[in-house]
Amino acid sequence: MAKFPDSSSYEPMSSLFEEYKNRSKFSGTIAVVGFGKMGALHSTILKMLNQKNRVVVVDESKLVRTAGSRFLKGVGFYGAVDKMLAKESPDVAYVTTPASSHYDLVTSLAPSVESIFVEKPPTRDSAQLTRLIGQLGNRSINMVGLQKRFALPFRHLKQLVDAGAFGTLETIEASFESGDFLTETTRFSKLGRGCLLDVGIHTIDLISWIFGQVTVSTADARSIYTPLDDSVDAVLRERHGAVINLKVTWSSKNVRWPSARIRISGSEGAVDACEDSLLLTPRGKEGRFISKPDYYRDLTAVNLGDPEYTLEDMHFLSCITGGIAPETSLQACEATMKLIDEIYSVVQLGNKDSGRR
Amino acid sequence: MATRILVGDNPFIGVSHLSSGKGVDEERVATNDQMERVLKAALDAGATGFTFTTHPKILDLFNHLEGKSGDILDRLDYYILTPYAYEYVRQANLRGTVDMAWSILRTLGVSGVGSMLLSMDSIPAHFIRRELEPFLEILPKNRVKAVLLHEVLTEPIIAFGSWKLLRRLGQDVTKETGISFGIETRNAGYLGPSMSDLSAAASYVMTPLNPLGYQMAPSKEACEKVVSALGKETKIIAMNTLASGASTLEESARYLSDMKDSLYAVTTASVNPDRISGNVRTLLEALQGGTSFDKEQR
Repeated sequence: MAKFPDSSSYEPMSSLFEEYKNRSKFSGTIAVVGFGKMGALHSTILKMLNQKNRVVVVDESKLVRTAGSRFLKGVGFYGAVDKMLAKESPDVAYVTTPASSHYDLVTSLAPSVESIFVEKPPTRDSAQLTRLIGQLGNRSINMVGLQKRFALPFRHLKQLVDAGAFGTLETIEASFESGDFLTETTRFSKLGRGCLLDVGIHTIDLISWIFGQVTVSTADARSIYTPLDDSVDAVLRERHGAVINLKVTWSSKNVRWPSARIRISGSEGAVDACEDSLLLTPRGKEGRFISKPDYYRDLTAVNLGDPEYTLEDMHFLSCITGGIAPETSLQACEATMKLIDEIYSVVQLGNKDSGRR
Repeated sequence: MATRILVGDNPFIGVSHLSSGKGVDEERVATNDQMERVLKAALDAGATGFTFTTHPKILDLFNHLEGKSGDILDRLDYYILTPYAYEYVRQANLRGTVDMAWSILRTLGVSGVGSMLLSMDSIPAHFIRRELEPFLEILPKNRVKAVLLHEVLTEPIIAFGSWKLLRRLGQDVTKETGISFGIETRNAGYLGPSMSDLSAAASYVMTPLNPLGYQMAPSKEACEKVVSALGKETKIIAMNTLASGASTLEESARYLSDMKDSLYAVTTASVNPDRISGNVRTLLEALQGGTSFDKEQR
């Protein structure tokens, strides 16, 4: 059994930055499809990472194109993918539109663009993802925007679990909470799936990544502000039998920022990890708190949003220059999407009420 | 030389870059009465200003202070960070970015793309002025020193070199409000090649400076170089000076005292009146060049 980690065990995490910096020498034309908040965020990070990067934007909104072309120097704006591809030859495309359009957009970009990043969730369900992977084949380098895997406290957590630092796992609490939807909205009706897919995918991906195969025991969902799942509680089991209590909501009044969290209790101690920090508590001893400043110091190449956005972009660019598959490739996300489908198959969706099903 | 200590508002509005849980706890403690005690303690210890976000809770604090007999409002200088970006991010999640943008534009009198084209260049300043208005109605006019553009808008401007936009925005904001204009950025190290463009557009730059280098992108060294050069012509306000609590006050004070010739002001924040008082005194001593720890520990 591994020795319970000491407080210096986060030190090697900083090597990730150096590795990405050394590998990500990419420069080229990047097409950003959908210039909402995520499109603007990635565009800014990618331009700051290398001023030689040329950004072109595809957005169907005339407002976005008119304002963007007036205010953003050197950026080309187009109203549709085919119009952009008729004039540009992008090396990379970022698809940052609402999820319901991802499949069609990635499919239309794939014949012309070698490397494609698609924001989470990549598709509506695992069947659609499998079809998309089939269409792309092996020729392209693709990546899904599951940036929580690049948050250093979660990377540290995975290292610790892989090393068996907590002994026999007893209970696991995994959650994603945000307060995004506290009034009625139909924004996700077209997609037909709610919080479990849209934000829960982060935590479910962390579960799949850290614990491997898990099974679904029970799942309940509640509709509060949308006709879809606004809150989901599920009981899962990891392969050695430890229970994973999963809670996902985008209608929490208790949090200011969206946050994923994983708490593990094992025979040798406990850990509480979120994007910001990791608290290690050896059994019977005082806890040790490792904070965001400890993890990141001055190593974040671009500081916009959370550091994991820059890390995921650097990872993607370094994979392109190195010709290797990203950690969160479409293929690597199949297990996550299948687990989401499995949870949805247990809960019944769509009927608006406030009761538990 | 920095002799101004400004109180920051992050703990008042639940922002902690150390942990979100800490932010939630601090926000709960920060009632109007508690925030008043903090500001008074900071003023009594030698602070001269308050840098805050255009957050509804801060507006409520000012309304609370306006109705009281004390003179806290009149004793502070103000450095206003705007817009309150988080609320717009939440609105974008709820409605989509384009719907949110149209709803903002309609409140500014823009009804369609045609009318937007006619008034395009002045829209950003109108938006900023509208964000500021409720605060400017309360604050003593001659004490509002700067309007600082939030990083959510500043960083794309830096990335894409949109200096013409920034210059126009700064000119319009100053023309409409009579207040100096500046930016807040967490990527100051990227300003190196554009310092003359920036200086022409912004009189103030607020940016993280701390011994750990936390939030100093792309690196502590790059940010320090820019601050050293830029500080000769632009007023630099150091923020996140304690690296969100990961640096000690003494470490931070020593670090900032080494940079004092380049700094205009230094921020510090707490929800605890005793702590803010201690922070202000220690930072002031360090920046004025005569701290006991400075002599002992150098």
